[in-house]
Order: sequence, then structure tokens, then C-alpha cells
Amino acid sequence: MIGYTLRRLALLVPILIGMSLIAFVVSHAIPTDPVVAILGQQAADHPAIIAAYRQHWGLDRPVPVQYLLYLGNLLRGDLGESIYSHRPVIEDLKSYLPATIELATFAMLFSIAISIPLGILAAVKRGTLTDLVIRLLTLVGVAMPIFWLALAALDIFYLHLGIAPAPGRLDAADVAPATITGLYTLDSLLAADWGTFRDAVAHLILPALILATWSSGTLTRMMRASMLSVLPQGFLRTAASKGAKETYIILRHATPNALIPVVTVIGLSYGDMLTGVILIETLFAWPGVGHYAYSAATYADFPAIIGVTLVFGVVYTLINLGVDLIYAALDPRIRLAMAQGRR
Amino acid sequence: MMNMAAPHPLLSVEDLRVSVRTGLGWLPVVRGVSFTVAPGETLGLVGESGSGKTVTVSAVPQLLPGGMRINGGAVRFRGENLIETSRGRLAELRGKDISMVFQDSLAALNPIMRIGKQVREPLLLHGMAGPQEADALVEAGLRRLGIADPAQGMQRYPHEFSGGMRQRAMIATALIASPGLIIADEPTTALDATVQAQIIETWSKLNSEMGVALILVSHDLGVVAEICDSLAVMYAGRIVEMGAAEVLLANPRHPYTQALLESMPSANLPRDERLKAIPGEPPAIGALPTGCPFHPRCPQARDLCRSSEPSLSSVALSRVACWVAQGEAAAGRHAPAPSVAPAAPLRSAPAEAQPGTADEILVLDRVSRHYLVPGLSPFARPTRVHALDDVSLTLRRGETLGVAGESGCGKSTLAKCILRLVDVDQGRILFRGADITRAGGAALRGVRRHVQPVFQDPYGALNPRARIADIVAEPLLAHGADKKASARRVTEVLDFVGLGRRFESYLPHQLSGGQRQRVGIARALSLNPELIVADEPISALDVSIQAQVLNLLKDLQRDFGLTLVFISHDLRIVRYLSTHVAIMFLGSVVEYGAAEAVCARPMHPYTAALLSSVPDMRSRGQRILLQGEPPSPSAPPSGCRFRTRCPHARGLCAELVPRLERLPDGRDVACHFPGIADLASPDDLGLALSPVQQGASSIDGLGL
Amino acid sequence: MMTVAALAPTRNKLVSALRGSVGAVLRNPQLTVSLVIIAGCFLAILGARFITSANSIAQHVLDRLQSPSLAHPFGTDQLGRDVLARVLYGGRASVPAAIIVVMIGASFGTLVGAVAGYAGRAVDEIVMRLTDIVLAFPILVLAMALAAALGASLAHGVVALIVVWWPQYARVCRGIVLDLRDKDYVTAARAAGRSWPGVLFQVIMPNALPSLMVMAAVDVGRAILNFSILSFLGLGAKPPQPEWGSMVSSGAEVMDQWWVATFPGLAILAIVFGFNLLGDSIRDALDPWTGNRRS
Repeated sequence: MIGYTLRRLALLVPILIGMSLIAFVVSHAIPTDPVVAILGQQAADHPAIIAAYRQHWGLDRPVPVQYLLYLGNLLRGDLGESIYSHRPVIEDLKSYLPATIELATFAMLFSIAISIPLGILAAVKRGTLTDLVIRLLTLVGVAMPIFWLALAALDIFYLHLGIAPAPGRLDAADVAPATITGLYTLDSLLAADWGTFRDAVAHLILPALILATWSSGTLTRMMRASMLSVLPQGFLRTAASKGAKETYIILRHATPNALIPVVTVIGLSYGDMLTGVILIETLFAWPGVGHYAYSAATYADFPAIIGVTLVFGVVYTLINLGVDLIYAALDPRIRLAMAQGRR
Repeated sequence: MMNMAAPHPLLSVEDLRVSVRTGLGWLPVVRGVSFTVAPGETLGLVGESGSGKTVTVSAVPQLLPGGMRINGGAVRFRGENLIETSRGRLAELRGKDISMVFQDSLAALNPIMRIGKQVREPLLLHGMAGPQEADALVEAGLRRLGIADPAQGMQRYPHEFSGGMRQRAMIATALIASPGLIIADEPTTALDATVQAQIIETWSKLNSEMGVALILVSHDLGVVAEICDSLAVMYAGRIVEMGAAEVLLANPRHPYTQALLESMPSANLPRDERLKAIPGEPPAIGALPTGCPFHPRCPQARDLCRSSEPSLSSVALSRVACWVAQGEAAAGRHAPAPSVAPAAPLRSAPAEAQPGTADEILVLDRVSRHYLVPGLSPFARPTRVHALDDVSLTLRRGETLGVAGESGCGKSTLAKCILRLVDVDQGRILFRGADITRAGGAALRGVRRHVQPVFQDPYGALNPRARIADIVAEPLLAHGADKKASARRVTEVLDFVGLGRRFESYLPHQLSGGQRQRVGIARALSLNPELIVADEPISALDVSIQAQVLNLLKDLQRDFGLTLVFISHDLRIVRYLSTHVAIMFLGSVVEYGAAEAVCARPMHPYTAALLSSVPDMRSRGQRILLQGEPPSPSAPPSGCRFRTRCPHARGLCAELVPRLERLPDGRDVACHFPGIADLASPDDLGLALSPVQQGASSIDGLGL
Repeated sequence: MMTVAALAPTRNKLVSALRGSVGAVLRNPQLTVSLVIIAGCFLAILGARFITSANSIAQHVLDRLQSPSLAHPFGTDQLGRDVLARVLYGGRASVPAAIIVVMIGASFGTLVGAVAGYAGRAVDEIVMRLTDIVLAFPILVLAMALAAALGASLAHGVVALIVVWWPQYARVCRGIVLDLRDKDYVTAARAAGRSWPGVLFQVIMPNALPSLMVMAAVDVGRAILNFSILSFLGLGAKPPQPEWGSMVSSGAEVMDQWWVATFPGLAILAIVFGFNLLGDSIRDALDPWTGNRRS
């Protein structure tokens, strides 16, 4: 198990190198001169300043050397300086990441809470009206342009009904809790600040629910399909032959087996979630990495874009590693295969 | 146990009717089945796939698969009609009074639940014990079934158990709540021969010890005959013959029962005699012929059989549903020993190859093939597993080499090496004198032109998207035949395997298993190859179809002088079909010689055990039981690999690897004490026959 | 063989009835509905000028933000452009782009995956590590980076999406090929003497394609959705060319005039839903034939 984890973590290295290489190549494919973009047009009129800058950042060296320099900086945690915020990208990411993690985690919890029971229900009631309604809902969920849904939700629940709070992480009157984890819900809980906690949760619900739309659809469909493949299996008949009743069979024997493949999909649909984060954070004025990525893209802020890309890549890879470990914990057969290096 | 002197039998099934939902509406699968089981009685229910035997027994605890419904009849258990009983009451009965054992133990056990928890589940569900108490009972139950270290076994997951162990755990689960009736559906079918023999022995013992009634469902008359007091034979959704096991086996009345008994080669059927195969195939659901459903396949069918269906009535000591048998009984005539299909003697006995005179088609010279299995920790060295270890064999033109052994013995790897589908690591393969061990490109294509395979699984062996004509033409076209010539050849070989022209445009899923296997054989024949390698070509087929395919292979040997490598787990079939046999155990050949000689008087203890392990419906003879299951190929025992299972193993066997040595009669045996099984005194035999799970140590200490 | 002869036509009839494509479509209401939705969307997009005579680009400032009426069934936007016309013509941007992305991405990915799966060893390892890297990129971030680097345009969006699209096909196709590679009928094809491209492309791939095609059907919808996201973020089609995502985006500025954002959003939802439903129903229809039909 430990061996497996180490192997997987070792795989992260080529992934990161590959990602940084792609990001580096993309950022060098820009037709505009990044130096000009960074220093501004005034400085661009003075070749000496440009040359000094190029030398300082190694931009006068051959491209492969530049990449190695860049990689060296990367290893030291230096992602360069944001053109837009004029701060080190790593600092920006540090301050924005917790908000994104909080939003994405809540969204994932919501979609798990919605999709597992719905998937079981649809599978057990296969072919009935319940099943049809659930399946159509999941298809709508997967097909939903969530930016559009977010606009509609804000318009209805915030502007017209006034039951949802204004966009943002907290009301203007509230003060953010002292940073421990950076997650407002957790920090306010740790500080026993119930008012802030309630406010933080209230602000989370709408964006997290909308962010959960895609993964709820995907996970429900997966849970249903997985359950349908488990239901005809022999061991459920064995359980019935032992005198188990239907509910017991479904909850104790079928569901744990059906959950196993669904767990891996949770990891994969985290990729969709990261896409959604960009949209939802932008629309809900959520100060997270997604919002940061959007403004970076608008201002062609390449150090920031590359930083976000790498962070998302690491998060995605780590989440999938975690998911695979959970997978192994759930299924003794996978555990064996992992231990033997067959996976 | 309750005293069951009551007038009711334990179980009485009365005119049970079940139908299945299909694209053509609800079609009957069980059409009026009645039988009774007395307390402690063992009833064997026999039939081919589709006969309705599994559906019948599933209907007893009301556990029919989805898409089926009971249309009528009654299932009375201790007088209570289970068809009309509430769900809650059924749940009370299941597992406590009626329990089940299923065929595929891997599928029947929850893969992510520990064995112990699964075995104790009936006790907890019925509130018969608390968890601790239940665990103690489970431990005792597993021990009784011969699981060596039950406390540790309870902590394991199903995939960590071998097939035999899983089946024992299943049986322990069925017994844990001391039910009155156990229903076992093909409980030994998925197991190796020697393990099946152990489980059969276990059943017989339990049955006499515990007095539990048993319904045993099987396609194999031999297995049922070993265990059961009474037998019922099913065909097309009905019982066609029923009676005491001895009576029914000694004097079968229904032509179908007779044919089933005669369609498998017995231990002494001469090689030049054809099998009495039942023609045709069982009717498909919803396509029953009028009258007696067996009449299209029955050589004795008369007008009455075609127009009206007979029901069960007493004939002598059995009950038979056959107009012919009933008519004869009424007429007071004694049924003559019936012959099902005229057993046409072969036109000419196959020319027995004279050693040294015929040319050698295939020579394997000390061939080895191993796999590397990664170690348990990432730093451990991978283990080398020998799938084939130093195998040498020779095959001459017109000969058939039979290869027999249990799963994991390397027989399939051997087939793949001969076909050059996997590479060998050491040794040489000569084909018609040329070294093809490393042949590639054009040379390999040349080999493929002359060496063709037949596969075990008729479903998997045919491309589901290709028409039959294209499947059979595949080797022809791959070797550059033109379309016209290949189409002609396709018609020719299809005709030879008994499939007409109209099959050419069919897709594989439109064919039955037997028909598919014929297509597979036709494909292998299309290039008119020198050598055919058939890996378990009949084991996926129904009994009556097996005989047809065996006869087809016999015809090929006779008409084309075909050279064949025939791989099977069933030594009796191997003997019947082959001129020579090689017995394999854990990657090595342990005995190799002329088929008749080896099977008549096996010299290696493993050959002897394998021969005796095939259940024979004609003789409920004693058998040699082997210890445990084949050892893991990744950790073979020292010395002789067979010694941990050998009833005659001694000190020398643990130290020295026996080499294949030529005996005076020309056969090769790899045993330090060849012929010991023959020589063993009755006392030793008795010990060898004693219950399955004696620790290996007690055997070691035996000392002859 | 009497029974066999009697049986074969029955089986034949049953099979052809189930397999006959027209019959299957009519028998499968879900498939019918999905085809109706998709065909409806395509017809509306292609025949836009038969549905409305309004121009999708011409601005009529006097007619700005009019609510839906007979003249403007979907109302008008801030610049007085007819929303119906813009929704219809807007499909001409993202739908063909999505089809191109899926066609190129799927073909390339399938080819790479097939070869990797069949060749195994080093080739397989390299391809899988490469897909690991690309899959670790969130689709949108990479597309945003490319669009930002190359400049926002539909064509650059297509390039960006193709780059992130192929690896999923490579992985799925590799998995299927690995699974099919050990089937007896593939072994039989090798033993028959077929060359490796013959085995891979004539025997394995025809059996792998159905599931890949299901995936592609669903993916056209996903690609449309991704294009609309890109243009919603201002990284797709350039104004004034209508595109659904950018229309929602500009509608967001005038939420009180609900029709400006609602209709393009509905258009996205409808067509993506249609493709998802199509994939779903093909999968259902294929399942009994492609799954493990044993026993």
C-alpha cells in the first residue's frame, strides 16, 4: 500500500514536468512580447531597460536554458510575478486556493449526497416512472450550461426573492475569521464564531449547489449503472437464500459493491468541477483560484495562467490518487493487485 | 432434528409451472413438474442446459431469477405452500429451514466481505446467535468442512480462497443454521476433477452424518449418481424419468436417459467405436415440437409420440414419461437393451502409428515457458513461475496426442506454444523437422498455414460481428486464397462438420453452442492443416452435444488422417480420442506414453488419481482422494511437485526432483516409485481414502 | 438436425426484428425523442432564414430590449438585434465547431489508443504517461491559456479543445483493445495468419467502435457546452458574430430583460441534452449485443 502510494507520487513528477513544459511552450507561443506586456509601453521605448530585464530573468538565453531556469525556479516554489497583480504568483495562489477548496468540497459533498441515493433508487425502480424522471433529470444536469443556471439563480433567489445572500464569501458586515485553514466555515467553527459560520454556509449553498450540477448528474448515472450491474449478481441471491430481506440486501450487499466504481468517477468528475469553478467563482464574486484564472486569461497574464494550470494539475492528480486509495480500501481485490504492482 | 413421522414429506412439489418473459411473450420453461423429498433423502435432478432444472429448484424457496413467474402448481414445505406464503415468512424459512449452494462460488460470495461474516450471516439474520457465538459456530462449521485453519480463513476474502475452499465455505453457510433441506445447484461443476472428488466425498459424509435432505442439480449423471438416493431426469421443462438411483442407472427406461448414459465414453470403450450420440439439439424455449418433446431426436419415436405428449407413469420400478416404454410395459414385453443410434463401426481402424516409421510432425524438445510475477513489496524480486517446465513430446503423422491435467497445469500454455501464440523461453519446437521456435514473418505464416487451433469457449471463439462464411474463410483469405476458391472450400468444410449452406450467412449469436463449436472446427479445417491443436473443445458443451463433437473429431481422424493435439481435463475422453497421452502437473509432464497402456495401468500416482476422480455413473467405486488442491505454481514444493498431494510420498520425494524415465513398456514416468498406486496394500489404500483433509504431515509420517 | 432447421427461422426472425434499425428506432421511444430533438435543432439552425427574416447582426437601436412579440418571438437585445435570429444563427458557430473537435479528437485518440493497447509495453507506457499529463490539465484552463496566447477566436478554440480532447479516447480505446485482445476470436485471427494491422483494424476495432461511437455522440454535446463556456468567458467567437455563450454573457447585463439570456441558454441545454439522450439510448440498444452474452 505504501509502496503503491510512493509509486503514484513518483508518477506526479513526470506529469508536473510535462505540464510545465506544455505551459512553458504555450506561454512562449504568444505573438506579443511578454516583456513589453510586463514592463509597459513606456519602458519598451528604452532598449536598455528591456535588455536589463531580459538579462535579469534569463530571457536572453536559448529557449531550452530558459526552460531549465524556469524549472529551477519552479522547484523553489517561484512561479514568477503576476503581470496583473504585481505580486508573486505563488502568493496569489496561496491566498485564493482555500476559497476554491471550500467551494469545491462543499459542491462535491452536495453531489454525493444527492446522487448516491438517487442512483440507488433509480436502479432499484428500474423501468418505472421514478427511474425515468431521475434519468431525465441527470441528463439535464449533465447538459446544463451552469453559467446560465447561475445567472438565473442569482436573478431569482438574490435579486427578486432576496432569500440568497449577495455574491461573495461573507456579508460585507462580517469579518473573515482568523486564518487557520483558510476555509471560512472551518475557521469560524474552530473560533466558535457561530454568526460568521452561519453566514459563510449561507453564502456557500447556492454556488456550491450550482457547481454540483454536472457531477450530480454524472455520479447519479454512474451509481445507477453500477447498481444495475451489481443487482443481477449471484451473491445477492445468496443473501436472499440466507433469509435476508430486500432492503438489507440492497443496503448491506449491493450498495457497498456498487459504490466501488463510483468512487473512481468522483475523482474524474473533479476535473469538471475545476472547470465549473472558473465560471461559478466569476459569477459569484468568489475570491478563488477560478476567479483568478479568469482575470489572468483576460489580461493575458501568463505567469498567473501557468501557475493556475500547475495548481489545478496537482490538485486533480492528488485527488485522483486519494480516490484510488479509497478505492483500494473499499475493495480487497484491488488492494491485492496494487500490492503486487499490477495496477 | 424434528421428528418427521408426519404424513407429509419434507418437500412436495406439485405440478409446478414456470414461464419466462421473452421477446415472444411469456414462454413456459417448467411445464408441470412434481416430485417429493423425504427428510434426509437425497434427490438428484439431472438435465442439460435449458431443461428447466435450475428454474425448478429456484422456485422452491421462491428465488426465481428476474423475468420469470410461477404459473401454477404448489411447493409444499412441511405442508406449507410456499407459493402462497408471505415474503416475510419466506425470509424466515430461507437460510434457516431451506438453504442453497450455488455453482459459481466466486460469483455467489460477496467479493468485499470477509468469509467469516458471510458464513455467519444466516445465524444473525434469524437471530439464532449473537456475533460472538455465531463466530464460534462458524469456526466449527468451517473445520467440519475441512478448512485447515478456520479462524484464519474467516478473516479472508473470497478471492483469497481457492475454488474448492470457496465451495466448502458455501456449504458451511448452507449448513450453519441446521436446515432441513439444502438445494445445491451444480455445486462441483466449476471445480477441478480431483477437487470435485473431494467435495463429492464431503457431501456424502455430511449427508449421512447430519440427516439433512438434499436436492442436487447437475448436468453430470456421474456426480449425481455418486451422492443421491433417487434421481429425476429433466428434458424440455418436464421430468421424463424418475426413480431410485440404482434402478434408474442400471435399467433406464426413457430413451433420453439411455442415450445420456451411453453418450459419454466409458473407461473401457474401444477407441475404434463411435459414441452413441443423440442427434440434434434440445428444443429451444418456445419452440417445442408437438407430442413428446424428445421425439425428433428419438430413434424409437412412433406416430403417437409425434401427436401427444406422454406423462409420467410407473413402469417397473421407475416412473417414465415415454409412450414406447409405457407401451412395452403394458404389453408385458421386456424392453430390449435399446440402442439409441446405430453405433456405426468405423470404416477402418485408424492406422496405429508405428514408432519410428511415420514422420514426425511435431517435436517439443525440452520446452520451458515462465512468467514473472512481481513480488509483494515494490523492492522484492519478481517470482519466476513455470507455466511449462522442460516439456518434451513427439507427435507423428496421424497420431493424436491427448494432454490431460487440472487447471493451472500448463496444458493451455502448451497449446499456445505449439501454435506459436506465445514464445518459449527455453527449448526447441520442431515442425516437420524445421525449427520454428523463433520463426517470424513469412516463416511464421508458413507454420500458421499448417497448424490451426480449436478453442474451448464456442461463444468467445467467433467474432460476433462476422458472418459464419467469413469466419470460416478467415484463414483461407489470410493465406491468399482467391474469393471464389475460398467460398467453395467454406461450403465444403461446413458441410463436413454438418452445417448446411444456409448457416453461411448467419451471425454467431444465431447459432447454438454446439453449432458454434462446429464452425470453430470448420475454420480450423479450412486450410487442410497438418496439425490441429484443440484446447478443451467440448468442455463448454452439453453432454449430448459433446458426444456429437467427439464423433466429428473421430471422423476427422479417420477420413483425413488428421494429426491432433487434444487437451482436456477429462482423462477418459482423452483416452478415447488419443493414441498417446501426456499427463501434466504444475507445468511438467509426469507420465507420457501410449494412451491405452497409460490409462489401463497408470504408473504415476497422479494419473491414477485423475483416472479415478471422474465420477462414473456405472460404478460407484472407491476412488483415490488427493490432499488439498494443486500447489501454487509460484511456490512449488521442493523435490517432486506432486508430493504434497501424493498419498504415497516419502522422504526421497521431498529431496529429489524425479526425472521422466523410460519404462520397459515404452512409456515415460516422472516418479521415484512408478506403479506405487498399484502396489499399495489395501491398508494404505484405506488410509488414502479416508476423509479429505488430513494434514500432509500425517501422510508424511506414514512410511510404507 | 430436424429441430435446428425448424428453430433457425424463429431465431432469425426474432433477431432481425430486434436488429432492424427502423424497427429498433420506433420501438425505442427514447432514441426517437433524442433524434427528434437533434434533428429539430439542426433543421432550425440550417433553415434559419426560413424561420425568421430578421438579421442576426443588424442593429436597430430604436428596437432595443423589446420583450417577446409576434415580430420578435424571442424579443430583442441591447442593440435591438432579434434574439431568435441570433439564437438560430448562433448554432452555426458552435455546433459545426463541436463536431469538428469530436471527429478529429476521437479519430486521433482512437488510433493512438488502439495502437498503444495492441502494441503494449513501451509504446503503451509512453502514450499513457502522455495522456496522464494532458488529462491533468483542466480542459477549460488549457483552452483559456491557448485562447489567450493565440487570441480569442473560434478557430483557436477548436485547436485548444482538440488538444485536450483526444486523450480520453486514447484511454477508453486502449482499455477496450486490451480487453478484446485476449478474446479467443482474436487469437484465432492471429493463428489464421492475419498480419497485426489486419488483426487490430479488421477484427478488434469493428468490435470496439460501437462503444466509442456512443462516447462520441455524448461528446458532441459536451463540446458544444465547452464552446459556449469559452465564448461566455469572451474567449470564443468574436462579436458581432452570434454565439450562444456570449449571448448569455451579454444577457447577464440586462437580467430584468430575461429573454435576452434565457433563450440562448435554453438552446444550449436542448441540443446538449439531445446528444446525451442519443448516446444513452444507443448504449441501451447496444448493450444486449455487446455485453457478456453468456449462458
